[in-house]
Amino acid sequence: MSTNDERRPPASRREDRTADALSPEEARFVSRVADVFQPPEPTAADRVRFHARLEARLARGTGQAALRWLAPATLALAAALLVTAQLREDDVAPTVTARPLEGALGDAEEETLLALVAGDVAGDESVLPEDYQAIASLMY
Amino acid sequence: MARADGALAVAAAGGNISVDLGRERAFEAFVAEHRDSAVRMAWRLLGGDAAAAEDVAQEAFVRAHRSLPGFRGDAKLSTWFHRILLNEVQRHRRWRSLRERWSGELHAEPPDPRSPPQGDPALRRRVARALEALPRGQREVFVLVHLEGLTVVETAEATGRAVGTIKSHLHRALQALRTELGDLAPTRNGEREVAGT
Repeated sequence: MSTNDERRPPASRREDRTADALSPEEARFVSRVADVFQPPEPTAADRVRFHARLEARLARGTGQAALRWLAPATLALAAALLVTAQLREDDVAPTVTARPLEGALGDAEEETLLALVAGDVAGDESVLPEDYQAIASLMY
Repeated sequence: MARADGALAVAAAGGNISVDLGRERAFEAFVAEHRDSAVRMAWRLLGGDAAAAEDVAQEAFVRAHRSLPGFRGDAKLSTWFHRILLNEVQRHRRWRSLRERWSGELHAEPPDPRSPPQGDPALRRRVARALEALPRGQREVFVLVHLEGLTVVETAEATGRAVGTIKSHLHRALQALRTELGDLAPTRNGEREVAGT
């Protein structure tokens, strides 16, 4: 009971503060309950351990607060890098360019081709080479 | 207590580094001042579970530290802290209740690495069980007023209930506990020790 008295005045001495004044019998009962239901008295080691744990938790809490910003920032950075990489990939994609026809055909062949396209060739042996024209003249 | 509360309340309003340092120092003083009472209160509200009481008190201080910049000074700092502590106690009780329901384990008094409390452990368990059987409101006000020595007004502020409700809870809690632990009360002729069952 002595330790309880040092920390808190017993109920019987606080009747004026508890608005509902306890009868002497009730006050004795409450005092007895308080006496029986006493937590262990913390030792100096308990207090030191409590402070150490609390400091660690507070420090961890501060770190976690910083990490709360880090996670979305990392996500945003990753997304930005992904988009950038995608854009670069689009830039270096092979472009299909038409091979120029110039030089692929000689001038004579080119003229023949153009004549064929224009439809001027039909029935006109003049476009045939000279040796073929000679053979054609023998046949017809 | 008032000195640490006042220093912390003033420091809570700060925003620059020097004030932050002052706030940390004031918070340390606040913890040193309220640590024992916070653990003791949690111990009584949690049916004598020492490990849980320490965890809850720690969590209450962590939350108080985090919420300190938002403290507006409407209430006394100690009352504000008691409110946080009661919330943490309730949070722990809900969590414990869920855990017991899912795992099917019955709550037993856990082993305490600290020095055991003085007195008869069986008797202590009886009182703990009787307090646990009370509704939350009655248990809180009985512990705060009769065991921790808060006034009815302080208890009303800490629990967020009306003074009339506190008085009503006190009366009912006392009735219930006297019914349950009637043999605990000493007789007029002297102390009567009743062993716990």
